[in-house]
Amino acid sequence: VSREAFARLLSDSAGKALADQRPSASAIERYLAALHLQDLALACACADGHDAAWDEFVVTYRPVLYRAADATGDSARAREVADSLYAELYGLTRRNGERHSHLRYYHGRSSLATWLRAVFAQRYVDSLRGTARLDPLPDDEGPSAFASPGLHSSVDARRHLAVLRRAIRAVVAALAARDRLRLSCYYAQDLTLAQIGVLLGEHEATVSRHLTRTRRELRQGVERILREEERMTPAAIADCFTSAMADSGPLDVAELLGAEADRPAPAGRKEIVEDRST
Amino acid sequence: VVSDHRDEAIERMLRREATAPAAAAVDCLDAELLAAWTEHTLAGSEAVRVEQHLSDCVRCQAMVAVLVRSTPPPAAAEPWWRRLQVRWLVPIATAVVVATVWVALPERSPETSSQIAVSHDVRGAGDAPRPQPEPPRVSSPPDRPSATVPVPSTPPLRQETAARSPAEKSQVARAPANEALAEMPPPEARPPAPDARPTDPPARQRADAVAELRAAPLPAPPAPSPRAVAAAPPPPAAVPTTAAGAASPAAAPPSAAESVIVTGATPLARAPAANASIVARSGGVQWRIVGGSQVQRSSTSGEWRTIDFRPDAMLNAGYSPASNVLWLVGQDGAIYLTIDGARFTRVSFVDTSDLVSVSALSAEQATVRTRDGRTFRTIDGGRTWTAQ
Repeated sequence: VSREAFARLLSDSAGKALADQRPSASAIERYLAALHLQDLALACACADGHDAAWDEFVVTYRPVLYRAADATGDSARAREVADSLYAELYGLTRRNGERHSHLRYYHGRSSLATWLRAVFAQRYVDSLRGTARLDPLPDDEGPSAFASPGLHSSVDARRHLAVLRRAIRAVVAALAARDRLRLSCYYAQDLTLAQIGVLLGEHEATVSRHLTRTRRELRQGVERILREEERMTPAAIADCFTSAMADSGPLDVAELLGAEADRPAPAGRKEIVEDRST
Repeated sequence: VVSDHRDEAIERMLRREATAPAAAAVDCLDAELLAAWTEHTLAGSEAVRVEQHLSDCVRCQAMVAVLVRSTPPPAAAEPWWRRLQVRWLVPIATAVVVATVWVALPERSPETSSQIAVSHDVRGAGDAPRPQPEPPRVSSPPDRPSATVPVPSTPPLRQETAARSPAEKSQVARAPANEALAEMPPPEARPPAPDARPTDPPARQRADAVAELRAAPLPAPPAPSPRAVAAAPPPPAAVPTTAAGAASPAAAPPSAAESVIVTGATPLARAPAANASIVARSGGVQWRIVGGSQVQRSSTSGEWRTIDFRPDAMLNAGYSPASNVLWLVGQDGAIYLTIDGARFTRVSFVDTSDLVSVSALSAEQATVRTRDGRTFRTIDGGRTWTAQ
C-alpha cells in the first residue's frame, strides 16, 4: 500500500467518523491512534487486489467469516450469505470498469475480524427478514388461523391483556436505554447473561442484578399504571396478570404496532373478533 | 408469590412482544459503528447514541445478537495463585531445596550437586522433570532462572538418592510419574528415532513437495450467481507465496536428530505446560519460544540464535519432529511451519480458537489441540484439517 493511498484512507476514515464535529488536532490524533492500522492496511491492499494480501486474508479472515456462519446454527443459509459476502469482499462487482471491493467500507474503527462478523450479521439478519416477508400467510382453515381460547375466551380477558400490554409499553419506554437494551437482549434475542455481559462490558452477575431490578421496576410501574391511571381494583389487576399467564395465543400484529384502527385484522381472526363484538 | 406470578406474566408479555415484526428500520447502524461499539472503542457520546438506537431497533438488536454469538469467547485468565505458583513458588522452592541439600550434606561430592542442580533447573523453567538418557546439559539458557550449581559430571543415581532429604527423595520418586503425565504425542506421532533423520532422501522429497504445494497460486473467489451467492469460495489453504520456500541444504543448520521446545516465561507461553516439557532425546538442535513472539534455535555448540520470524499471533507451543521441521501454534488459530529450520510459513486452519498444543510426525502430519479441548489433524502439511 502506497503512503499516499494510506494517507487518503486515514483521511477518509477520520472524515467519516468526525463529520458532524469540528474536531481539534488532538482529537483527530486520538482518533487516528485508536485505529486498527494493520487491519486497515490489509483491507486496503486486498481492495487493491494485492495477491499477498489476499493470501493473508484467506488464511486469517475467511475462517472468521465461516465460523460466524456456523455459529448461527443455520449453516445452509448462513454459508450462502458468507459466500456472497466473500465474493463482494473480493470485489467482483465492477463500477466504471473497475473492481469494487466491499473492504473499501472498512475504516479501521474496529478489528477487521469484528467488522467482518458485523457485516455478516447485517446480511444474515436482512436475509432472515426478507424471507420472513415472503412466508405465506396462514391458511384460513389451519389451526393457526384461530386465536387461542385463552385470548378470546372473554371480553374482559382481552381487555385486560390490552391494558396490560399498554402499561408494559409505557413503562418500558420510560426505562433507560441500557435497561431497555438489556431486556431486549435477554427476552427478544435470547442471549445468555454472559453474552449480554460481553456486549455491554458488564460482568455476568451485574447483568443478572440489573435484569432483576428492571423487572421489579417494570412490575411496580405496571401495577401503578393499572391502579392509578386505569383505575383498576386490586382484583382487576390480578385478573390482568392472570389473563397474561393464561394467554398463549397468537399476537395481533396490528395491535402491537399500534395501528389497530388503521389496519385490517388478518382474515382468520377478523371473523372471531367480529363474533366477540356482537 | 404474587410478585413472582406477576413477574412471570410480564416476562411472558415481553417475550411475546419480541416475536412481533418490527417496523422498517430508519437510519440503522452501519457495520463499522456496530463493530466498534461491540469492541467498546467508541467515544462517550457516540457510544450513547449507538446504545440509544440499539435499545429501540429490533433489526440492530438482531444483528448484535448474531455478532455476539459468533464472537469467540475470551481466553480464560489464569488465576493469580497459579501464576505465583508457576512463576515464583517453584523456583523459590527449588532454590530452598538446593540450598538445604547443599548445607545438609557435609560429605557431598561435586557430582552429586551437579545432578541435583540440573534436575531442578529443568523444573524451574516450568517443565515436568524427566530422566535423562544422557548426561544432562550443564549450560543453561540465558533467560532461564538460574538456581543451579554448575559442576561437570554426573553421579550414580543410587548415591544421589541416598544422600537427599526426604522431601527431595519424594521428588525423585515422582519423576517417572511426572514424565508419564507430561503430554506426549501418541506412539504413532512420536518423533522418529535418532537415526531416522530428515536428511534422508524420502524426507527431503516430502519437504520439497510440501514447499511446492505451498507455492501454488491462490485461486480467485467465486463469481456471485444471480442471487449473488451461489458460487463456492476459493479453496482454502493458500499460503503467502512470498514466504514459502523449499528446504535448502545450504541454509540448514547442523544436523541433529531431535529437538526440544522450551517455552518462555510469559503466561501465554506457559499455558500449555505439558507441551513445554518436551525434552530432547539426543543432543543437537533445540528450539524455544521466547516471550510468545520470538523463536530461538540452538546449535550443537549450545549457542542460541534468534530466528528472523515475526509471528502475527502470540505463540503457545511448538513441536519439532525433525531438526529442520518445526510446528508452532498460538492464539486465534495461528499455525506456523518451517521445513528448513529458518523460514516459517503460516498454515491455514479451520478455526480461530487459541491453539495450546501440537504434536507432529513430520512436516505433513501434525495434530493440534484448541484451548477448549478439540483436536484437529492434518496429513498434508496443513492444507486440510480433520476434527478428531
